[in-house]
Amino acid sequence: MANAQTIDASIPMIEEHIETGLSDLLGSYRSTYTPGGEQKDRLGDRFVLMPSRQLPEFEHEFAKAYEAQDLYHNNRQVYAMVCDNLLPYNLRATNALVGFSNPALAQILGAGTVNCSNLNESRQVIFIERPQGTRLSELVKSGGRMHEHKVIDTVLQPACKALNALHEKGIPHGNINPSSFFMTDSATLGEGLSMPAGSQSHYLYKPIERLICDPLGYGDASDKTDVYALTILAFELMFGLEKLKAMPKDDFIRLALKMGTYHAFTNNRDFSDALQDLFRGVFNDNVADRWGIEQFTQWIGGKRFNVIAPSPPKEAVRPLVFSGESFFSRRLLANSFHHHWRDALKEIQSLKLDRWCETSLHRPELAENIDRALRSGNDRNATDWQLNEMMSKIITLLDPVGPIRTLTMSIRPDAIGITLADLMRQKGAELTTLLGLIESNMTTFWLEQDDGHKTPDMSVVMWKLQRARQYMKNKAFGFGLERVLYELNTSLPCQSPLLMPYHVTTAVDALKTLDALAVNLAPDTAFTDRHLASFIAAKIDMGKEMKLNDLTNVPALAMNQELIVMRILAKAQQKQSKLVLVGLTTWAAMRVEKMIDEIHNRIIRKRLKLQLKKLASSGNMNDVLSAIINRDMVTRDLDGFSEALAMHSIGQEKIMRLENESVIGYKARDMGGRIASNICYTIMVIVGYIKLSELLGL
Amino acid sequence: MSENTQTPTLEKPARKKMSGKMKTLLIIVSVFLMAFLRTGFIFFLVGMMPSIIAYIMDSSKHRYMFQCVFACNLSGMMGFVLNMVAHGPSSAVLQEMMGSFTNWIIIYGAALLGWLVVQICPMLAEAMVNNMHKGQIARIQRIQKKLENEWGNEVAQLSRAADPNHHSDQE
Repeated sequence: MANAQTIDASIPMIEEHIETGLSDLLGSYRSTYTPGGEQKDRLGDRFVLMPSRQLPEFEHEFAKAYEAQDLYHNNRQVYAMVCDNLLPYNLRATNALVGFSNPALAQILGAGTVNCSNLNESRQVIFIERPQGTRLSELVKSGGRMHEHKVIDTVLQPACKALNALHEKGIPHGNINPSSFFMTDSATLGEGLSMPAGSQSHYLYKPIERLICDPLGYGDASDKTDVYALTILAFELMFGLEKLKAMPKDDFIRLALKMGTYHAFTNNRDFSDALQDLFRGVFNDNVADRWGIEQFTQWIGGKRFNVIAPSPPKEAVRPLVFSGESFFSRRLLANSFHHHWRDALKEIQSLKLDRWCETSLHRPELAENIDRALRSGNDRNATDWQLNEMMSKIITLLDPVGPIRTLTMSIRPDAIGITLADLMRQKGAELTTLLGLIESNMTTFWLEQDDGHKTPDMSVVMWKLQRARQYMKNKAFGFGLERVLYELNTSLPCQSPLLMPYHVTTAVDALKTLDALAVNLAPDTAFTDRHLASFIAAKIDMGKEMKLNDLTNVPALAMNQELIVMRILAKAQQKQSKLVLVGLTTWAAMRVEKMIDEIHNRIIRKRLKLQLKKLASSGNMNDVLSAIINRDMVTRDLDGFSEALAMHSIGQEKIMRLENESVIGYKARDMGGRIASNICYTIMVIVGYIKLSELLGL
Repeated sequence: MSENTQTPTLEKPARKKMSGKMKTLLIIVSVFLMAFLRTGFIFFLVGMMPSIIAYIMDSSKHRYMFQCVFACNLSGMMGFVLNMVAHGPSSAVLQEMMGSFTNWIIIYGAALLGWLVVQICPMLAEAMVNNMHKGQIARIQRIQKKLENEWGNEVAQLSRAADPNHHSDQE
């Protein structure tokens, strides 16, 4: 191009690289906060974890066990449970039980985040006083039987005290089984905090409505589930469970559903009056009538109830035949539908289930509900999802106290959180099913079918699930699947790769950790992290999507996800008024420095970049972000750019015209012609004047 | 250069017919000259032949060639016409003037001079226009450079991308 050749090379360009001084600022900054715990393998100045001394006898799939030391009490035998950081733990129970002392309970001495040298990352560690004696499971393994009085005196009475102590604090144990009791003169109940409720117990220790749940679908334990497990333990210690344990799980479920739990266990055996009361009260398939801690405590205290033996669950006058089998019980039928899902889908419309409910069960309301559910799947255009939802509803209507059952899952709504965490941990194929379950109104439907579900804790779960539905629809940073994960699992540490090794559980810790890590991570590490954004958003209860309205005119910035995450971090910092984060702010400033290049005007750019250090040194994220999220500045820049573009284009057009040979030729001919004619006319006038003068003799 | 570039119309205009006023003026002048010069009018017509030819040949808008040839041609004729007017239109004077080869050289030479002037001046003007344009381009480019300095090379890139002639230039 001709114009390219004529640009004066001597015109200096404004310097592109501007030394902001942010690297120096970050280099000189030292955070006082040590992420993940100050000293390795220590919790404060009291507990020492000994990672070289593993204790396999205390371990399970959710936590590793090690020997530990209590520096305040050198003679005390302590062990530590190092929890998995991919699953939530029972934070409420842990906080309530730390320092709580009861002779029948293994004492929780301390709990907190410990920097584990062997794992090279921080974890939630629970320090527990090591119970004395042998486990009851050893006794069970040896096949020995205990006498009724001994069981009551040495196991049930201390266990009752322990459960009452927990009950007063509103905490169930959740994992009562022979391994959780340690025997000396009397039994001591071990901890149940390091594992999800019901995860370590044999299925026989679970009441029938929870027995049909998936391993992690058990949900929150209650005093009734604890008393049930304790009664099964007593039964095993006295009579053994070898025959039932030898039976496949599905067969036992069918047996319990067919005969009732009481008959399945007792099998017409004779007991003492006291034990009969206990077994009839606890092995009751009606959850509302089943004994809880109050009745159990009264029973231990010597009260006799004369409970009537539960009758086998034969509800229907006439059977319903499905898959070649006759069913008299709704729950057994529901279980069969779940196990023969595809057959049930094929036959459900021809089974005349609603009619059976009306004529054989004499439950017209149930018949109406079933008819309504059947009609939702009666449409020829119904999708697989709609058909499966119909089947889930029918199963829930038939067995309202059981879990929500889908083709591949069997889960209680209060277990959705931990199951989601587990599926995300294992990248499980059922994740889509679970997400579908959250998105659908199945959980609300399940809640409405039984008044026993309507507990305060379940109401909180339902409220969380309702919110999760909204969050899941939103795919913006701070929302989506990750947000649902943190909303449903409040104790789950942040799963962001940046924060994962430091076991961060609060927004303040997340900010402080990022502040301390800034020296190593800035400037190349981006904040674009869905887990980080969702974790912070969940902790600060961010309800609305973060939008950069001031930058709508600059799409590259308005849609910048990193800027949105930084804004979320700034919002979290704002909630802690005295939190100064120079490291994190400088890191953010370094990231913003790159974004400032989206500003067209080099003078504005330079000015912004030069003030970044000053803004960063304030330690306030908002100050740094205000440099770029500034409507006036952006508008001024855009208007100026448009004007400059127009001026440049006009100039370009002018240059092209001025370089046009035809234009030059035309102008030259015109101008030359004018000059020539002027010269010639001048000559003519002069000659005319001279000749006229000569003629006139002037 | 692309045809899209806005340039003045350079095509030859259709031959312009002499206006009625001009015709009337020409007739009056001719009658006046015939009255004063009588047979000398023939000499005048022959002497002004280069102008007549230039008028016919020059179909441009401003007829600069005709104007120049006419002005110079008339300058050459001026002495002889005034002489005839002063001494009367005698046949002897007319014969002497027409018979002199030098006179014809003066008359036609003057016309030739006019033609030469109109040929040389555009060449000089082209050099002048070129210089003027270069000055203007440099000034515009200085402004553009300043804009690019302030708003980045994007301004130049977008401006060139938006200009369809730019691409055709490169092609």
